Amino acid sequence: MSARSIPLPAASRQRPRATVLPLARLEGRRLLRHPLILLAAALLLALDFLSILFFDETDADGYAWSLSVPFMPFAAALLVVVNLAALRGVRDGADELYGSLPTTARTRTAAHLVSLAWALAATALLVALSVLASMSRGGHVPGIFPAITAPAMIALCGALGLALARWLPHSAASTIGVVGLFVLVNGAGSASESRWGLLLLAFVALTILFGALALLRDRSRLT
Amino acid sequence: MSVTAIEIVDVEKRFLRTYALRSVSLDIGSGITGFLGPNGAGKTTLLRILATVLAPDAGRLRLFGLDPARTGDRLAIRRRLGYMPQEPGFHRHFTAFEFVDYVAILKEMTDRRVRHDEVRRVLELVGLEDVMGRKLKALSGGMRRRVALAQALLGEPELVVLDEPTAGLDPEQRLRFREIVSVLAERRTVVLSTHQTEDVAALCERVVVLNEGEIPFVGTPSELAALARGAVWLADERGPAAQLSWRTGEGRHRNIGSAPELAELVEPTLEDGYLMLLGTRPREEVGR
Repeated sequence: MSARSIPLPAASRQRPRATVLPLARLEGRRLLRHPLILLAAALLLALDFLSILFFDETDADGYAWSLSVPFMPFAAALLVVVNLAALRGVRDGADELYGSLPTTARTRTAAHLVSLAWALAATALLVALSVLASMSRGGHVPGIFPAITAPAMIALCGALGLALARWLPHSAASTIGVVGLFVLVNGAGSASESRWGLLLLAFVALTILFGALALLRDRSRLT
Repeated sequence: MSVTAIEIVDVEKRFLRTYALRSVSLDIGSGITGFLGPNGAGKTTLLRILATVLAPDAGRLRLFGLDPARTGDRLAIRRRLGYMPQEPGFHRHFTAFEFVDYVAILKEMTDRRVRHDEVRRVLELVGLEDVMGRKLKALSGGMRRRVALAQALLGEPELVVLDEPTAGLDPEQRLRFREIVSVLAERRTVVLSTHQTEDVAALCERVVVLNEGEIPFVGTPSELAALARGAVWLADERGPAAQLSWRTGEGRHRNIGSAPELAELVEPTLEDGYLMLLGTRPREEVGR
């Protein structure tokens, strides 16, 4: 008997985009539970505590330091963890299995990008804690730009980790990313209030660029 | 007669200059079809093509009448497919539940409650309900194979492709596997590859023998066994002219091919037929 087309069961007619959110939820939770992230968050809090102890509360430079430098280990950890998560299939040899499933590599990448929202939420909480600690001591009250630069840096690192995973699928590539991050963000600690806006703009633009680069690389084609 | 779920016509696949498949043609309907063949015969390549992971270099392939070379058709096929690769690639830090749940999301099961129920169902089906919270790195090889089988069964796929599903399973687990697959195949198409001729004999309605990228035999297990009818002998000695010969656990020699002296003709098994079909190795290699 010759082959004939059998209609799809209604339950299986899903929009591929519908998978992004549940996948992002799973990835986001795993991201925040990763030991490296937990360690980096503890380090961030410790550095923040030290900055409260050693900086004059009214010193804007000191305040800028407390909103950038303590977040760098967290950003570096996020870069590495996102990179590892995106490389999970390659590292564990699961790409063959993934290749047989309806969700494409691009959808998985999109889910990883959305999962950064979990890291951003955690960062926003940490920034809020830092600001509250400073304000409680009658210290400097930040403008909007300095306050959202740390989350922007976190988003940038996540997107960079993802882009590296898609274009240079090797765990060592994240090390290059971390070095690049430190070079890039080196100026953040000394940024004057007027330059926060520019820095923020650069972070957002680079996040979009790296996110788009990651999404462009769909490796789910048949070979 | 069952509807043809898979139609393969003159399919070829090459890796550099090596042919993995040469002009393979086959129709597969519902029920269980087993692929037998030596290492490097092309079984895994063919299963990867059926799982839409690889594309053939030439020939025509239709799964449920759909062409996997077309993006839309491929997606529709994948929604009806369950695939257990030879090496599934386990995420060692995931628990069994998390891994199957992850695959379930990738299978577009978006409703959390329904998905979790389904994950529990398939894990219970393969007998892993007690260890679903354990990390994969802490599970035995056999348990991991069952996790791999569980993910392939998610969503009750219409086509199930299993590459060496019984490798690493103990006899009890193999029996359980046979039970699961035979129930599954009542309404579906199951294609599996194996080195275990007993599994094929016990499970499969149809056997496809692959050798060097070609199909020398397609038929029922009894037809494969019948290839060796009149050519399997039990004797006290190794037959000098036998094509294949080995010493059985009872201390006698099972000879395939020409009869040795004072030999007793016996009913062939599926393994005998398979060895008769492919057994071109020198007698010395097998008998030791």
